[in-house]
Amino acid sequence: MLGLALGAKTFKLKFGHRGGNHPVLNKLTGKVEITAQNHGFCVDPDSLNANDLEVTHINLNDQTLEGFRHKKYPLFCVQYHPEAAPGPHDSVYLFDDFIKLMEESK
Amino acid sequence: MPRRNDIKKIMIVGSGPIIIGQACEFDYSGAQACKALRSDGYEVILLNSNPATIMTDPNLADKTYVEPLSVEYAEEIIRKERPDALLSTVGGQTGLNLSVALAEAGVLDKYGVELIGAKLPAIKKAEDRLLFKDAMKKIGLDLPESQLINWDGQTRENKQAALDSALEFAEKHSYPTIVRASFTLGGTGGGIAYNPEQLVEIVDKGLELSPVHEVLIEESVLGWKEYEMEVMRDLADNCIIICSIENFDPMGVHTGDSITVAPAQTLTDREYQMMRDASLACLREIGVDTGGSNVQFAIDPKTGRMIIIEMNPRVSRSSALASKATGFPIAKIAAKLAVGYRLDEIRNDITLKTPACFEPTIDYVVCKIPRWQFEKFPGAEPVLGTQMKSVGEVMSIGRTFKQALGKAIRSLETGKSDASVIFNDELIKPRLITPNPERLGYIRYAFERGFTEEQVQQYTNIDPWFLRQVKEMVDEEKALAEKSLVSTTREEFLSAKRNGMSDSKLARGWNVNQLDVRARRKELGVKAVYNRVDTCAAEFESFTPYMYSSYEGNCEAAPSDRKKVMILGSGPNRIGQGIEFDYCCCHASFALQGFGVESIMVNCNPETVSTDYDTSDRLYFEPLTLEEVLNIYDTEKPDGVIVQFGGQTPLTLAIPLKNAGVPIIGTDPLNIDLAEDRKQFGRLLDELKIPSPANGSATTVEGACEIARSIGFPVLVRPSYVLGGRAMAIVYDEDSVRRYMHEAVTFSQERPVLIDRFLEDATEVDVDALADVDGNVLIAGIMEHIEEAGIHSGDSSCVLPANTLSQATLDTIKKYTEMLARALKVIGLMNIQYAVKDEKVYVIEVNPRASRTVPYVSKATGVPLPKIAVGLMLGKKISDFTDAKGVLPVPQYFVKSPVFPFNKFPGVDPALGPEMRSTGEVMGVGENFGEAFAKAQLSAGTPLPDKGMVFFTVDDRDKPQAAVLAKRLHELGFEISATRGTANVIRAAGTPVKTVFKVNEGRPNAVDLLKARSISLVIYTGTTGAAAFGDEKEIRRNALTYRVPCITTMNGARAAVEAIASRRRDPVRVWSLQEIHADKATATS
Repeated sequence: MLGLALGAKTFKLKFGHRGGNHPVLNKLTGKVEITAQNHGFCVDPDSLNANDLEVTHINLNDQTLEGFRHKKYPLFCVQYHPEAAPGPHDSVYLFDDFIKLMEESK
Repeated sequence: MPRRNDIKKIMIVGSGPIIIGQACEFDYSGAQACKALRSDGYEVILLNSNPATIMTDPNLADKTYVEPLSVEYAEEIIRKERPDALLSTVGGQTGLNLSVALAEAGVLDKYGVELIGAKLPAIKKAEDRLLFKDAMKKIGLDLPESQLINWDGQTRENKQAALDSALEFAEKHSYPTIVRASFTLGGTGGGIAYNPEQLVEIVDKGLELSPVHEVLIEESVLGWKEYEMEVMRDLADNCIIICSIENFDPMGVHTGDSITVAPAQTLTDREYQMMRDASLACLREIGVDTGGSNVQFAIDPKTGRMIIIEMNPRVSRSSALASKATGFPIAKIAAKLAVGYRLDEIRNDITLKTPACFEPTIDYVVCKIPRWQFEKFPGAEPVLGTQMKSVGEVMSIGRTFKQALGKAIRSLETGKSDASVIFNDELIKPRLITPNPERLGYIRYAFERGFTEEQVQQYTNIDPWFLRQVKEMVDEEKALAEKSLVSTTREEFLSAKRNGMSDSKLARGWNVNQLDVRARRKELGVKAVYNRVDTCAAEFESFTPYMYSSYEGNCEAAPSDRKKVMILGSGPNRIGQGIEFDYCCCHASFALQGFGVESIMVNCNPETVSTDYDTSDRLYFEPLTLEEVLNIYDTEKPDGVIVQFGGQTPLTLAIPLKNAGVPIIGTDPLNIDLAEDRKQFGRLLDELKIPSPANGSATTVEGACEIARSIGFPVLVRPSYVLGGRAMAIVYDEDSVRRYMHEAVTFSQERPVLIDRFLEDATEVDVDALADVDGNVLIAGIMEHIEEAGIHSGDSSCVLPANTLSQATLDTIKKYTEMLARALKVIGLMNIQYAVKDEKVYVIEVNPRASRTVPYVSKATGVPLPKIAVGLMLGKKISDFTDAKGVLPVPQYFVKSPVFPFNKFPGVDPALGPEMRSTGEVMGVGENFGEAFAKAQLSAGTPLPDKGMVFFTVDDRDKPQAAVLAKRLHELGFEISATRGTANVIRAAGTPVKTVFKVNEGRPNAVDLLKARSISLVIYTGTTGAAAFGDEKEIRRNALTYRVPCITTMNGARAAVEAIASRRRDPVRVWSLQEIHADKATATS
């Protein structure tokens, strides 16, 4: 929805991403996190406005987009479930990032 | 971070001989590492003393050194080869320990070698109990309360102080108390103490056995649930979990001795994620830069408290299991990570599309059951604890836990069908309470007898979920046994098969033949299909045909229509049938691929290279039973099946398979059978006029006595169809024959007992030969045993080339071998054992199949025997492979020596006899016999001393020989001591000697001297086996405990003296197999 709201396009994945073992590369840190996912659509990275938006997360299985952030506004998103239970806890840092963002924007 | 280009040459250290706690899983991991690094363009230098491994094959590394795993020899190799880096994490504890020793001795710094995989500080942190504890506390992980007990290794007073502090700890935290010795393997030197006496005993021994004289004592977590996590990390700090493993047996049983299940079955996601987080935190804190590690946890089932037990900063037995369970090649990836790759840069071999940086998903259940052999060690109590005792293991894959468990049980081939095990109602409770090899059998029996889940749970502490599964299996079996072959419906058949019940079990219940059950269920449309192990639960397409059977709807096998041959593997490792046969099977597979034939492997041993998914074109991870093999045959329809490479396991299936119309290639199973059949074989020998010791076979006690009388004592008695001399004995009188028959006949009722005249003092010779369809015979090796006949051939050291046999004897052996190969129409490999006495050659045994010595002979001669054998089975001729005629030449001296597990079985007499008890072997290479023997002894963990006191106590007939050896040793600077009789003879020969008391003569006696560490070598002959007197046994036991080499045969003693002389004379020098066989490099590659 954020993607669409920001003018990007989405497309339907052939099988979708389901399960608790999807490797996602965080392009900012260069580290890989294992994530829980359950989604059938994804944002077309070519349709992102590169001036405003930056791809931050990539699914390593099929190289699809899993997260981006806005270069000006306090806004970032991921398409998987950092909060998921069942699921691994590798992505809990996103909550810290979010809180930091809130504090910075006060 | 891509591949490192600053290093070019990498040295890999292997794990040495197969011992309990360190088996062929490290051949698997080492071989994977070699392959991975070489395929990336690195030059690989390999050091491993074990010739039976695939990894020591000359084509797996650029330079292969079969040399002792000691600092001295490793340094010489480093000096010669100048590697840039040393990979420490794929050679088990032995490889890790040697790497640490090389680093600490300054060798790595001196030659500028970088330790890769795990660095020294990380190894220390994981291995040193105290550092580990601090590290875990720091990251907030819970541990059992514990204390380190140290001893300086010197005085008794200091040791007493150490024991006192152990007692004090136990008082505070109450018994039972767990003891673990630092830096030992497979839990050696550890145990569970239930009272102060036991505590003192275990700590005392642990302090002796620990190389740093340190033990950890800790709060008991007996009965807690036990888990393992297999973890990997790369240089960029990406961490993933490969697999979780849950132990069926709760804490208190070494994980190597536990039945284990993957993935964990009884954890909630929350618990699992907690354990996952803890594993990752542990890996990061210990600081293993790259590679695989294993973290063990315990959970208190009452409170949910989770504690961390230990972590291994290297590839382990569990990693091998996890690799086979998931299809994720841990060792291979670990090697790649060690040279700089990141997990997300490596491709998943199975899907070909996705990266290796992911966590495998398992849509099936994997079960591992260990294989024990307490029956080989009379005197050892068959109970399980914190010290590992199993010699091998099986793994099975099923859609459910029940199916996997059922398959695993029949993969074990325990030599007795479930029906023949006699369970005793009285024993149910004790067998459930104290962990032992029969516990699973007793759990089943308890349910049959009407015990409830709660009762069994109370006695065993096993999680109720597992017990319910077992109970449901038992209930279903009972219910079906009430029915009949005809009245059982399709649904009932389907349910039974899905729940892991075998055709033979159903057949027993209905008292019909298993083939009838097979026919009936196929008629009803109940057929096995195959699913793939694909790492991703079918999320992505799998390109690797790694299969297991199930009774689902879809078959994913997709067999090809190529020309193909199926190889039957050797099943679980056991004494007498180990890695040597896996070596042969793997080579058979490589050879088939080389000839353009598709290779199909069937095996159930997770430790092996043969069950690696990239060894064969297609892999079936299945039990080696008639049912399962026929199922695969039905699916694959191979053009041929090879049975001669997997030891006894496939041979027992050969005739039933042939009868079922399966094309067996190579020597006809009927001829294999003929060689085992005493009567027919005797006739054949008579026709050929080849002498053999007088013999007969008997099926009754009286019959046996009569034969023994007629051929004259001593006699060698044994059951037919056994490997490794199971239940074989030399008996000297009729009473012993009687006693033996009572034991042996109950062991195998349908097979007669074989009785041979035993040739005392004969030299035993092993011959491996190849024969083709035209009757051409090539003798690969004539190996002379160092111990005399009567010691099992697998327990005897042997040498290539034979060094004391006359040319005439060698010619006779050659002639007989050729005659026998032709008479038995051997196609492929055969092995013959001869005894030579007074220049006369007797045939002891003929085995028309690959033998235990095939890898050793292949490495000594530089000629890959299994490869040629496969060619011969496909119809090629010997001359297609080599111009060699007669006997293959051997360019140097090669000594093979056995390695024994006696230190794991306290109370067992370590004397050698006709029953095989060694678990592994090593090879020594030298320019002369002494040098090769000295290296072999060093590799076998019984290095010969170069100074000190030699203690002799020998049989009367050995005394003259002892005097000669004593003189020689004296000249070499040794002090000599002996018991009175022996001393008199030595003194009379002019050698100064100190007389020492026997154990019952007074003090200080020989055992006191051993304990005081004033003896450095024991040469001892006399009565062995069950009849040995107490003090003889005590000398041998104490020699073992205090790590003093103890030689029990005069031939062995002579060899030892030559070896000691060589150590004085010859420099430390090493040869790679590639150098030794440089002339053949082009011919055989």
